[in-house]
Amino acid sequence: MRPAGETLSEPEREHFCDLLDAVAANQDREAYSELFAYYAPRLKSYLVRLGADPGSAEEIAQDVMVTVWRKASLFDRTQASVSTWIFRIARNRRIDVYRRAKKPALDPEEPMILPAGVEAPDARVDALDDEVRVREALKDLPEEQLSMLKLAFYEGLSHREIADRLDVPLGTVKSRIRLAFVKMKSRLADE
Amino acid sequence: MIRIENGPHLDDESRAMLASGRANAAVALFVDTLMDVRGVDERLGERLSGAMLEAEAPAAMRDDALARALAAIDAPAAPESAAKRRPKRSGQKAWPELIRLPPRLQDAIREAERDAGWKSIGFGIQSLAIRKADGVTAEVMRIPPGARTPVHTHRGREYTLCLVGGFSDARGSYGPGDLSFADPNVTHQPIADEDGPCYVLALTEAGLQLTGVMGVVQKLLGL
Repeated sequence: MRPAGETLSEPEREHFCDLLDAVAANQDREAYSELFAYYAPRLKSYLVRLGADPGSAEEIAQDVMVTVWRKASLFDRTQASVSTWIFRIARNRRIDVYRRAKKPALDPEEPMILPAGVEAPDARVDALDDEVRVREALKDLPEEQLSMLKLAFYEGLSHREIADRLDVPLGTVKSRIRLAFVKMKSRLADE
Repeated sequence: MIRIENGPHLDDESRAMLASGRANAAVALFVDTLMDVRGVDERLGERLSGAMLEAEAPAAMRDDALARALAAIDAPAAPESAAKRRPKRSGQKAWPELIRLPPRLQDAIREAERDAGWKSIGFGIQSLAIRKADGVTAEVMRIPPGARTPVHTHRGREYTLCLVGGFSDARGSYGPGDLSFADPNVTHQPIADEDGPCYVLALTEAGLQLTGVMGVVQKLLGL
């Protein structure tokens, strides 16, 4: 089994794309089994991290993997890696986790869509390059920034919740996340 | 109605809430569609999370986990297949323009057709609620060529994204990818362009307050 903390290499990621395409094209069970062996245990960890008890996490991970089979034909490797695609399916099940863990989804109290801003939207289409660069950039981030990005983007904590959890001022959370995000973004804009 | 030209631009926290799935589900669907229609790749947050999922320490699944998943795949989900048959099959529309919508929205439309189905809301306009969460609704509307929508004001904020075709109101015209914003101070009557049906995705807070005759009918019918 692969050690925790490591992301997939580029050839491995490509291999997983092939597997998912095989599931879509030929209902290939062997390919599916390989995907299941890799993703199901990680999904379970992710769901536990969100607050699900191990039993529910197992059930939801199962369910996400069944959805992976059913929706395989919607996967498009030019848009996202298999991990990003599966993450999206899992994340859409979060609401179930919250219902069980009694943690509310956040309301859009403030308009999320701002009419104007200083930061230009990222209009790149080169999704696969982005997947590579994201992983490279993650390795270079200082631990304090990485852990905050993880709490915000992966676990979905608000800035206030992160400040409380790590016992640092709200302003520090905001500035570190901004710094990390800008750094990641500039990495993607390079080359 | 304010026309929103650029962006959208998300602040860091909103971006993270959207990427992580913590955001309001109706808002998330709207923003995803907006990105798709405009060809904007704002998926850095999701890519980050995909990479973090890879780095996750695996938690052992039950020994029979894979066998159970395969069994679930083989047995075309008993409760679901029954649920699928119950609502009228006719719920699925075959309008040719649907394939011009972003694939992820098409997928959501097919799901919503199984659940709620399209509703006629008068003037030939059809509406399909895609997602409702905490008083916010995301719905797709199909407006026939040249149709006049009822004059209406808004109880809360409303974002309207033009998906296919176009519409205009007293303040301007909107085409695919254009986004308009209205709040309770705005009363307007958008009219669809003549050259084809117009599809929009509307995100509304607490529903529209209709002022014309149709408004009364709608209230009476509880629509």
